[in-house]
Amino acid sequence: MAIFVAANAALMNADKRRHPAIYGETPSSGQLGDPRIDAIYLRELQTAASSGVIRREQLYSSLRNQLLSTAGLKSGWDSYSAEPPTASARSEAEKALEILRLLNAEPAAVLPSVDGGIGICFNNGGKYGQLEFLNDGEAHALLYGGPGDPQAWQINLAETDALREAWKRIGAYL
Amino acid sequence: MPIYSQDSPAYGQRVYRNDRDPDQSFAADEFLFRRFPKRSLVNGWPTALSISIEISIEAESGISVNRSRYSLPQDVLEPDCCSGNHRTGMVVLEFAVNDLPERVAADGRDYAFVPKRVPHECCYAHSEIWCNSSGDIERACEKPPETIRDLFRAQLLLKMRTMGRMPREFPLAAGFHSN
Repeated sequence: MAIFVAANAALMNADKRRHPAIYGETPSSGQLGDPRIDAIYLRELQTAASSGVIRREQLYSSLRNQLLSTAGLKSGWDSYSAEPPTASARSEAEKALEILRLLNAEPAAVLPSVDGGIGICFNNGGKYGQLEFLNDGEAHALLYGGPGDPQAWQINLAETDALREAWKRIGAYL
Repeated sequence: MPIYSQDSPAYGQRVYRNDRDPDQSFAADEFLFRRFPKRSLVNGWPTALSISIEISIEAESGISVNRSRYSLPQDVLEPDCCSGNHRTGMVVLEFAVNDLPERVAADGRDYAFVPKRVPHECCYAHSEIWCNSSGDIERACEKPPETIRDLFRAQLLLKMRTMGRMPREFPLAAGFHSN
């Protein structure tokens, strides 16, 4: 019996040396036994959390919270004479966030504007861009920190693709 | 009573006017100080969204700052320099006079930005960045259009960034607490 076991082990070892690729494979499900459901959930969650889609949804959830937090601002919130953003400026910013989300843009922050309104900021290293939705209904964009002089322009929100075009210019600059 | 400095004779001598005359000469390397909401910083830097250009034509006033020749940076946070208000959650921006863009042009119009001394009884260092098309501080202040305001902010912030002028934060003096 002892001779048989030893001979069998020797054969197995010889076979492993001959077919290292086969014996180096990860164990089959049959060898591992029943999968643990908690381990499967953990692995799927880790995969999802690291995916771009989930990360972007988390970012936009945070940006919408930043937008909501501007609703409670009072006149002079900047310690000087800034007016709080109006509901219409917040609404325009919310619509812009939805468009930017669909365009896979990744804003850095949503902040109140000292000119009265809401701004959506983007940055990449020292380069900076912003979209600003003012209480008076105007919208403006600004770029600086990249090559050339700063650029500022007004956005005509009445035009269908105005925000897409603005983002295209900001995205290319950053 | 100061909340960022110790209440002392030195504070009173520095911050109050004490019958001193206005001094209209600004050296190019003199610093100007301005409050900025800390929660509006993005990655530690101010953005153009939060640099207010609160020029009031009716009140004949420009962009409020304190000058370094007669004040410390934290004085701009003191109730004496904030119309009596206690300001917390603020940082101090500092930039040199020659960091200010002299003229900003867009859409066929251009404006000059020049420091002007406007001392207050309880804040001698108070000054204003005066804006009009002539650059003459004796002429009326003008409110520039949004594009010019944005370009002014962008040029100033770029200069501050290039010079490494990070916003400064000051703790409240002993015995005071933020709300």
